[in-house]
Formats: sequence, structure tokens, C-alpha cells
Amino acid sequence: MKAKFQSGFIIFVIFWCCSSSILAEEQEAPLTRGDAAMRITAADFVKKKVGELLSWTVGYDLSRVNRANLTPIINYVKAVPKRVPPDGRTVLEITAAVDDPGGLGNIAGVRADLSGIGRLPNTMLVDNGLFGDAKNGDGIYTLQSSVATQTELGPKEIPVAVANKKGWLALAKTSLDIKKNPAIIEAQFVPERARADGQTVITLTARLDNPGRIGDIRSVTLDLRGANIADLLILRNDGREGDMLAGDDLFTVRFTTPPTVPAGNYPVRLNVVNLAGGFAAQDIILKIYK
Amino acid sequence: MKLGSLLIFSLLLAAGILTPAVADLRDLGVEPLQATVTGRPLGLGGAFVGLADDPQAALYNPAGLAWNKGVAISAQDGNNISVTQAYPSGNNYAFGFALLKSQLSKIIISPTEEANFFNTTAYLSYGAKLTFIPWLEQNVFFQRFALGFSVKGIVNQTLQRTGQTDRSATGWDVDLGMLWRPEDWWSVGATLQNALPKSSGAAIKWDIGSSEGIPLTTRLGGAVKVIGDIGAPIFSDGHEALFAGEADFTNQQSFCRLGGEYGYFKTIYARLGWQQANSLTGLTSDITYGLGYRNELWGCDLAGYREPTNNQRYVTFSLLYFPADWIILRSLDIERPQLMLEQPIEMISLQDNISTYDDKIEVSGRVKPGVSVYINGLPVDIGADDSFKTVIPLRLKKNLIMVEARYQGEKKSWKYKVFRKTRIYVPDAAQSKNVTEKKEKVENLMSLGVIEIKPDASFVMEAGITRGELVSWLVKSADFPLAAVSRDLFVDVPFDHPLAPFIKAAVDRNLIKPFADGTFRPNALVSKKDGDIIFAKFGTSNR
Repeated sequence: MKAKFQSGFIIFVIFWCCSSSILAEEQEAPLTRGDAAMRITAADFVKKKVGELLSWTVGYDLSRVNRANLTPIINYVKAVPKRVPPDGRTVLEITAAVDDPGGLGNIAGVRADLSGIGRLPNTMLVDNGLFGDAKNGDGIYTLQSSVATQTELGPKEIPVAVANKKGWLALAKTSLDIKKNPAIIEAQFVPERARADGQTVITLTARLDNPGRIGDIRSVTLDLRGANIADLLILRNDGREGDMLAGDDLFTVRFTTPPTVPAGNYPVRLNVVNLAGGFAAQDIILKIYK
Repeated sequence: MKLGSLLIFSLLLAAGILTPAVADLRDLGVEPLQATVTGRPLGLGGAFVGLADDPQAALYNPAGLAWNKGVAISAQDGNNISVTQAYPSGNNYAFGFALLKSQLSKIIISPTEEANFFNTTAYLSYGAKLTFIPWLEQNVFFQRFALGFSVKGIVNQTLQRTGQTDRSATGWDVDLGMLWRPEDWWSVGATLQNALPKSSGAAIKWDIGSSEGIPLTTRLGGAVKVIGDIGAPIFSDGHEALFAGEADFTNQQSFCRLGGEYGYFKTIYARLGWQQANSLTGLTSDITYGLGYRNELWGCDLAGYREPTNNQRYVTFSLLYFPADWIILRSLDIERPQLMLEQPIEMISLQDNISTYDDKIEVSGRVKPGVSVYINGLPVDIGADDSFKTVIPLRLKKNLIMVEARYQGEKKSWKYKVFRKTRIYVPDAAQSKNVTEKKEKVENLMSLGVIEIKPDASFVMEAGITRGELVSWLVKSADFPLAAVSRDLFVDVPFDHPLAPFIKAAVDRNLIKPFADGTFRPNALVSKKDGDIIFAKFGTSNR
């Protein structure tokens, strides 16, 4: 009995020593990062912070809206010419310089709404160096079109939309004026007063503006019947016979007045007609002396 | 803005021109054709002209019909009942109908004289924006401005007065209204109630042969939702605070009405109002109160008020129904856009609450022609098939995504809450116990900024933690303030040591002790035994 007790005691002592040793070893073992994280998150105030972090009803305010600029950038949009006749043939060129936060390669397409000028509402602009585009891949997109003949006169807006491959859109617009009639900017006789002697050369120079191109002016005439001269003179823009430069906006004619014309101030009419059927007229005073 | 001022001025001018004769009924404090049997407006003190945002708009401001739909039935007892309806066309105009039965009993005129008043009135109303006129269609002002009118007919009206023969009457008149809602959070409105003069035939005709004009009341009001959803001056997710005010003018008196409404998640509402009214003894004022409930299809309101004519308190109950197939603006009747993740959705707790590791999310949907879509305030490309698909980058932690479909100044909007979690890779996952739970805890601590490693980086779970690293976690998680360190803390922690502020904060609070040799040993591993001591001080028991 005593021997049994002694052996039992020895076993207990050995067990106690072993377990103490294991426990001590366990206690000396390093705390792992995972365990440290577990124990930190067990603190009540950390639990509260985590609860707020994961809560669907706390913290979703306007500051959580991502305001990063994801849309393409339109640097400019322009239409040339700014004044266009509704003739269906004058070339209207729309250009848009665009960019994107993700680079030009992220641009999915550039479209213009041409419904205001009687064309398609979803017309593509291109940056491929073709169809009027100057250079491939330079970020300047181009579209060539014309104004439909049935388009009403007046200012029109051309909205342009740029989409990128992430589905974002940028909007801009340019405006142009649909005009039919040419305009006489200024008209002047040189000399201002001329002698009616059949020799003094009078030069009329008129500065004109025409919707579309200046080359689409069909005729510019000076009607001298107001000065009792039965003559209809044609102003030139071919760089000849007094005209300084061909194709510019200055039209010129040279003439003399016969001696039969009495002295006086005579209103003579300058008429301008363009290919679109537009018309402009202006009375100019021709001063004659003897 | 100028145009709005001009219209308000015109209404006021008309009020001056159209002032009718004083009505006999006013002697009793009775406002003929005055509607009071409605739940929500009463809870707001009757200040509803500048708000008019439910089917009961026909009774207060018919212009409000342009924005409303539904049916409302209100009752305070078997003799005071109203039925109102706003039926939208789907294109910025709506028709209204209302039937009102009211009874005012025991109006004490003198100790020996009292009166009873019974009235049944029918309303036929119309409210519209003027955008149906082509040249106003794109005008921003007219997209948010509506006019309306109600033709009111007295079906039966009886006045019983002690010592006098009972008198019955029929009659009719017209209300004119305007409502301007420049933003979703504020609006102003005005009505001319009983706008037509007696000479036009709009009058009460008594069966004893006499007739009298119905007194004109000009009502000007406004409403401001100070706290509310996106767009309100103070954004609050789930809470709304609305204030409404109104001034009423008659040729005898002026009244003021004020009301406030608190809304909880657009479901539960509490209201408090203050209203002045005409009574037999002159101008009186009293408090009104109300409660309301709303969901997509129906709602109910309860309101308590004091009837000034007989000085008795009443409670009115309203039941409202908003049929799903009644569409206010058909172009905006579109389905909620879908949110898609490139990787499988980690968790969707509710329809719009998404938790993900992804750094981007895709929003896609389809709209009707002419409708433009904005996400987080930026325009979205709509394809030729009227569909859109947009990729939105997600920031770490909470993201609020706002999707708006806009058409002619009106908009329909949706909010999505997306939580982007911080992700780590655990290379020793196979050796770690409870790795899923530990990973989640570490990710949470990373999201809180306690553990600072780059997203998607590796995190060795079973590696021992150093004293310096543990100190930084503890200090950050407890938000201990960090003091500037201007001199060396310990032999091995110079003042410019990256962990010096954290070590100082922890040592100052006795969370961790330096060694007796004057070192701190920030790179030494923390034993479990030391960990127990530290976490006991930190407030976390051993697990």
C-alpha cells in the first residue's frame, strides 16, 4: 500500500514537472501576429470601431462618393466656317480636340448631333487621318458635313459627345450661324469725288462676306443707272484690272464717267448674289463734279 | 427666377382684383368649401400649399398634382370624410378628383343660440407643367413649375340655426394654384381659393332665394427639406426634416400656419404643426400633431387638431394607396440599374449593400429614349440601344454610388452602398488555426488603419509579432494621441525611430515596459506571457 502510494506520488511529481515545463515553454513561445490581431479586436472599443466600419447605416455620406474625374476631356470644339449657307454643298468642318484620363486609347468615340442642320443626330467624328482629318491619332477628331437645304436660318448648336471605353461621357457644343445672304462690309470709291470727263478712272472696292466660302459669290455688280449711266459693271476678284488679289474678300471695278453726266451726288447700287441664292444690296453715293 | 417672381406677383395682383363680397357664413366662423379632413396636411398645421406632394394636393394646391399620384381616403367620423385622387397621365400632367363631406355641429353662437353646418363638395382638378408647349419643353424653369385649377361644386350644403329656418344651398367656385420646385428639397406655392367673383356666377345660392359670393382666400406657402437625401442642404441617410409654412389672406383676416415633419428611412413620420384659423370669437391658434407611415404602395396618416368653429378636438385618419401602374413621368419609369462585379459578389446583405474585394464595379442598365444617366454626378454614355454600362473605381472601405436618370428636369435616383474590403494573402494558411477568422480580423484592422500593409500583400499569420509592431497596433487601435518625440527614448530607440511616437505613447500609459538595461528592443518578439500582461492592461482578456 505504501509502495503504491510512493509510486503514485512519484508519477504525480513527474507529471507536474513535465506539465509545468510544457506550460513554461508555451508561455515563452512568441505571440503570433494572427493571435495579436484576434486579441486586439476582442477589445470592446475596437469591436465598436469594427462594427461602425461594417455598418450599412453609418458613414455612407456624401464624402463617400467617388468624385474622381473619370470622364473624357474636350479641350475645344469648333465649326468652320462659322456662317454656313443651307445649300447642301458648302463643306462644314467640325473638329473636337479630346483627351481622356486613361489616355487617348481609352476614347471609344466622338459623336456630333447634326439634327439641327438637317443631318444625322449621331454622326461620328474620326481621328484616322482620313475624311478630312489632318493626322491619325492626334486626339483631334474631325467631321465634314454640310447644312441641308431645308434648314431654317439662324443660329444653331452642334452638341458633341465624347465617350470613353469605361462608359463615361463628356459633352460640349459649338455654334454656327445658318445664313443665306452675303454681307457688304464696306464699299468705297477712289477718288471720293471724280470729274466727269470720260478720262478720270474711278475705282470701287467692296469688302464682302459670304456664308461658307467667298468663292461661292456668284456675281457682284454695280448698277450705275442712278447716275444716269446705262451700265451694269461687274466687280472682279481675279487679281486683274485693278483687283489686288484673286480670291480674297475684296472685289474691285474700274470705270470712267462720261462728260454728259452732270455734277451731283448719285446713289448707285452695289448688288451681290451668291450660289446659295442669297442676295445683298447697298446704295453708294457717287460724287461727280465738272 | 424673375419669371417666378412675376407669376407670384400676378397671383397677388389677381387676389386684389377678385376680392368678393363678405360671406354671411363667415359670421359663424365657417369657411365654405374649406377642406380640413386630411391626415398629413393637418399634421403639418395645414401648411400644405407650398408642399402639395401627395394625392390630397387637389384640396390645397391643384398644381401639385403634376408630381403626384394615388388615392387617399380620410375620415374623422361618419360625417366627416374625404376621398381624393391624383391620376397622372405619365407626361407631366394629372387629373384630380375629390369628394368631401363635412359636418360642423354645435357651433355655439350665444348661450341660447347654436348652429349646425353640413356640406358635401366635389372637386375636379387638373395640374400640369407647361412643358407640353414645345418652346417651353427645354426651359429649366418650366420643367420645375406647374399650374393647376380645381372646379368645386357644392353638392349639398345645409345651415341649421336656432330660431331660423334651415337653409340649404348649392354653388360652385374655382381654385387656382401654382407650385414651383426648383430643387427636390424646396418648393413654393400659391393658390387663390374661390378665385371667381360673384358676378361670374360663382356663388352659394340659398334655397330661400338669396345668394352670396364665396370669400376669396389667397394662400402663399413654402416648404424646405433641410435634412434629407442627396441634394438636401444637410445629407442624412435615412433621416429627413421638413419644414412648411403658409400665410393665408382673406379680405377680413390673415392667418399663419407652420408645420414640421421628421421622417425615418422614408417609412415612419412624425409631424407637429401650428395653425391659426377664423372662429366665432375671432382669430384662434392651436397645435396639431400627426404620425404617418409610407411604403411604395400605400401609407396611412393620423392627425389631431382642434376645430376652431366649435372648439372641439378631432382625430383624422387617412389611408393612402399609390398604384404601381400609375406613372407620373413615363420616361423615367425604368428599372433599377444593376451592379456587377468582375469577381463573384462576396456578400449582398440587402439589395444595394455590397461587400467586395474588387477595386471597381460595373453599373449597367437601360433607359428610355431621351433620358440621360449620371453616376456620381458624371454623365454616362448611352448607347444606340438606350443601354449603358459604366465602370466605377472603388476606394477602400465605404463607397456611396449615386445613379440618376434625368429627363426634362425630373430625375429618378438610386443609391448603392458598396464596402470594399482590404484583402491580404496568407501564405501560411495551411499551418494556421482559425485562419478564416484571423484573416477577417486582420483585414478589418487593415481597413481601420491599425495594420499598415499594402492591399493584396502577404501577411504571415503565424509569424511572431515584435514589440515595436505590437505597440503600433495597440496605439493605433486605441487612438492614443501621438506626441512629438524630440529626444532619444531609449538606447535602441532614437528620437527619429519610425516607431518612437508609438513606443512613447505605449510606455507613457504603462502598456509595455522597457527592459532594465535601458533598452526597449522594438525588434524583439513578444512572448505569449508578455502578451497576456500587455493585453490585460489593454482591456482584452486572454482568449
